[in-house]
Parts: sequence; C-alpha cells; structure tokens
Amino acid sequence: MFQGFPEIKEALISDAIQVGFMVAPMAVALRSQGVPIKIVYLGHRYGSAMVVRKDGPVRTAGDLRGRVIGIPSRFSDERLLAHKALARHGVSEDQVKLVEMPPADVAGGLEAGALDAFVMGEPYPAQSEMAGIGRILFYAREYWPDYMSCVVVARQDVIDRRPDAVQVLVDGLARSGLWLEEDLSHRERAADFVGRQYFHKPPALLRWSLTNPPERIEYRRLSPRKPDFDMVRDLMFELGLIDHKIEFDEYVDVRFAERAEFQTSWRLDDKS
Amino acid sequence: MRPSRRVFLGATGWLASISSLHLWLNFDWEGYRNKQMPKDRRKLIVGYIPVT
Repeated sequence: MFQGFPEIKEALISDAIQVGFMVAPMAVALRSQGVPIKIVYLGHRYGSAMVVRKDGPVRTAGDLRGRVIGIPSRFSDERLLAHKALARHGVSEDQVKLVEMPPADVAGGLEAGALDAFVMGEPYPAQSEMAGIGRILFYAREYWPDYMSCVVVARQDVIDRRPDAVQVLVDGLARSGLWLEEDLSHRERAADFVGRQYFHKPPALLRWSLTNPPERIEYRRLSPRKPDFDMVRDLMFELGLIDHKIEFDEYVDVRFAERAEFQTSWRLDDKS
Repeated sequence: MRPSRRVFLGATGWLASISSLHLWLNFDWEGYRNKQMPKDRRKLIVGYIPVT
C-alpha cells in the first residue's frame, strides 16, 4: 500500500511492483515519456467529488475563483475534472490555486483552512461528510458523464513474459466488479473486509462511500475505451501535461479486458 | 564469572534477542522469498493507494 501517486509511480518504474493502480493521466504521461507500461483495465467509474467546507460560502464552481483547491496530482483525473467544472462556470485555472496533496491529507487541510476545497477520490469526500466538515459541491458525473479515475497499469515486460498472470488479475477484477454491482449487501461486505485488511480505515467510512448512494462509485464498464482516453489525452495536451498526442494502442492493451468480458460474478458463501 | 564477561554476554544476548524480534516483526520474509524465485515464477506485486 502506498500513500501517494508519485510513490506508486516510482515503485512501478523501479520494478518494486509489477502492476499498480494509478490515475489515468499519470499512466498516459508516463507512457508518453517512454516508460514501458500499459493500461490493462479500469479500477472503477466515478468515485471522485469536489468537496467544500460545509458552512462555507462556496455554492457553485464559479465561487471557487481566487480559492485554494487540493488535488492528488496535476496528472490526475481530479485535476482535469476541476478544470472542466471551473471552465463551465467561466473560471480559468490561473484564477484558482491548485495544490497537490496526498489523498489522506485533504480532509485535514479543509478542516484547518489550508484548503477551500478539494477534488479527490473516495473515501476522502465521505470522510469529510461524515466528520461534518465538508459538503459535496458536485460529483464527478455532473461534469464528466463517463468519468474514470484509477486504472490498472502493468509493466510491459510483465505483459510480454507473463500474460497469463495479468489475465488472472484482470479476470479477478472483472468478477469482483460484477459481484459489487450485483447486490448492495456485497458492497457492505466489501466495506468490512477491505476497510480492515487493505485500507486500514473504519468499515463505516467505506460503507458510506460504497452505498451512499450506490452510484457514487460504479464497478461496471471497466474495459478501457478509446473515446474516454482520447478525451483525457486531448485535455492533457491542451493543458501542456504531454507534448504530443500519444495514440491509444501505445498505452493501452485491450486484450485482457476483452477476454475478461466473459467472466461471471464471484460466488461466495457466508464463510468466505 | 568476571563482571566484564557477564556484561559482554548480557549485551550480546540483548542484541541477539532484539535483532530476532526486529526480523520477526519487521522483515518482509514473504517478499524476500518471492525475490529468490525465478522471475517467471514470482507472485506479481500489485501496488495501490487507499483511494478510488
């Protein structure tokens, strides 16, 4: 487990890890810089939100002019989401201050007044809501209908030498996604064991993120699609995050997702 | 037993027990064993951040 995207990026480059979950623009940027990786699947859809202080003056994205907004990385979907929302309200990026922060620090930053808002993935919006500090200004889907954030990235040498292992991983993710979408009780069950074993956070927090409402995070349509990534790539190019428009098949390998489409949901008994 | 020898044995015992405890609690033995395997037989290590 890592605490920030720069660390996971370095671990992937150095082969300390062979597969990583990271924000899509970071994966696109790394590949455009020649790092031998490929996106093989999505982690989820939606799951990010803009959060402001509960009793603060910000009521629309337009009210963010002149304010400080926390983001996980300038190479993040959250940064692109903020850009889209601000632009819709006639605010340019140079009229706000974007501050990169590790996800775990944003709720505290908002409470302390260091931030006026943050755009982050769950469970940090939920954390602010549950603490009575933050209020959801908008969910990602309001400004980005097919929003995607974290993607599954594999090293190219692993894809080449061990495609079967990558397929097992992607198949497992597909089955888990189907299982989570099948029934609300599955999300509550996942909140319990993921909270304890992997996130080291209270299960009640994850339960809030996964069920309040269920559409807050979706685990369907996880195959990488060219139109989604072309949009991200084009916006990254417009913002100067990449210096050329890298082609979809240079940074995405769709074979694993295509084979995973035949997967079915996990069948777990009460003892597992 | 001379006091100096007693001190030496005590310090050595302390060092050994603390080092053993550290290795037991903090050393990633599973990761170490995984690295000793041939590359094509190692478990893939998947990194994540606790955020969507």
